[in-house]
Amino acid sequence: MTPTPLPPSGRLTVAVASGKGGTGKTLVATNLALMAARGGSPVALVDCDADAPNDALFLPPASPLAEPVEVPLPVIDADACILCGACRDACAYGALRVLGGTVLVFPELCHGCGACVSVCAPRAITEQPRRVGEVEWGRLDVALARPAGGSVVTGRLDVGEVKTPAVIRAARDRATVLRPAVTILDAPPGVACSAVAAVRRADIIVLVTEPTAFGLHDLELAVELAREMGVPVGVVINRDGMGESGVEEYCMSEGVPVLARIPFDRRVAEIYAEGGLVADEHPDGAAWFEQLWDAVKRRALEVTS
Amino acid sequence: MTLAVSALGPSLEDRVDERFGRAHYLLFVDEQDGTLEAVDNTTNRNALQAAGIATAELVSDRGATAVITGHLGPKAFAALGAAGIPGYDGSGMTVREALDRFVEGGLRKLDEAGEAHQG
Repeated sequence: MTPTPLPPSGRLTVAVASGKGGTGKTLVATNLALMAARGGSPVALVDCDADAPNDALFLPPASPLAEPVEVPLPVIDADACILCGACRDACAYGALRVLGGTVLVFPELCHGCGACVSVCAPRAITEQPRRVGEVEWGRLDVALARPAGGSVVTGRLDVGEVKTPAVIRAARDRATVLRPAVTILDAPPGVACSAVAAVRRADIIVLVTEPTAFGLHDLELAVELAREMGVPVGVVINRDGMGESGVEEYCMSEGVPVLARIPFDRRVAEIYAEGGLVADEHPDGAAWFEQLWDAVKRRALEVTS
Repeated sequence: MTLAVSALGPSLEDRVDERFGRAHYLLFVDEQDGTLEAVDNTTNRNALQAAGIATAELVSDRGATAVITGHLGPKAFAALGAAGIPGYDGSGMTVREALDRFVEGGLRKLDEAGEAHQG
């Protein structure tokens, strides 16, 4: 079988996402990244699950570098402030309040949009950077990812912080600088802000689900999100055979292609639990993920042509 | 002075609501003439976040000089602190009992913020 080429642009961004947590996004993202590199495309694997990143446990980067992720936080000059309340009125998130003759800033509520600065007539507000997390990146092991090689980029939110989307955007920006042909985005579960930040502007979303009632329910949410964002999807059914839930029927009736099925197999769970690579350690692993990688590229060609 | 009491209902016989930001009602009691005004706090109670700040603003805007409640979260504590409004612990009492105890000087002042998302 001749491998399917990348779309004519020579670049492809694949988001691996799911509504439900624990369906196998990391399993799929890490093994898919390896397949891309081995298929000749320099790859960046971006761990966007910044609350609990673990791609680097499976594919540790060589001599990684790190940089902080900072968001701007307004600081009020009390001498210049005239307590007019314009900043409070402009803030969509209620992060600024005028109380008892001062302006209070609530950092957890601030999204760093800068609206307060722009409406402050006496120019009493400046922005200072506040650290919320970090991005770490480094080369994939050369022997593991030959011939094309690539990088692992990890977004990591600091404990107690809530600005996951800012960390995800920073991780994706870092990956862009590395100029890979293929970008694999390992998205956080769910369909809220951080999942949106992870899948936005992807060429295709691979939705990993499992054949359970929970898997189906959350798959429906994720398909809805992808449609709203205008990104084409394909589904991977992980733990195929563990139950009957109507996932296949749902995909059929909604016209959502099933790209691959990974069987419910104890050995897969064992390899994963030890931080191993199923593509290398399971007798069928290479075939599963090679076929999935090809199916992803075929789907990408379909939707770009 | 006007006291603000977080309460489970609109009357003096209702119990103090231990939550501040998400209290059911806020009862504003004028110490001089004993008048009582009950404000339904449904809007703040159902806020997605920062109910404590919004309720602190409400209390401050109405000129309260002290708050009787159960817990104050970090944001409510900071907001009330900026407004110069101290908080007192009236948990487990009716509003009337709490007011009587306050006048006697028998309520504990809340000197530090409790855990977030309790109130």
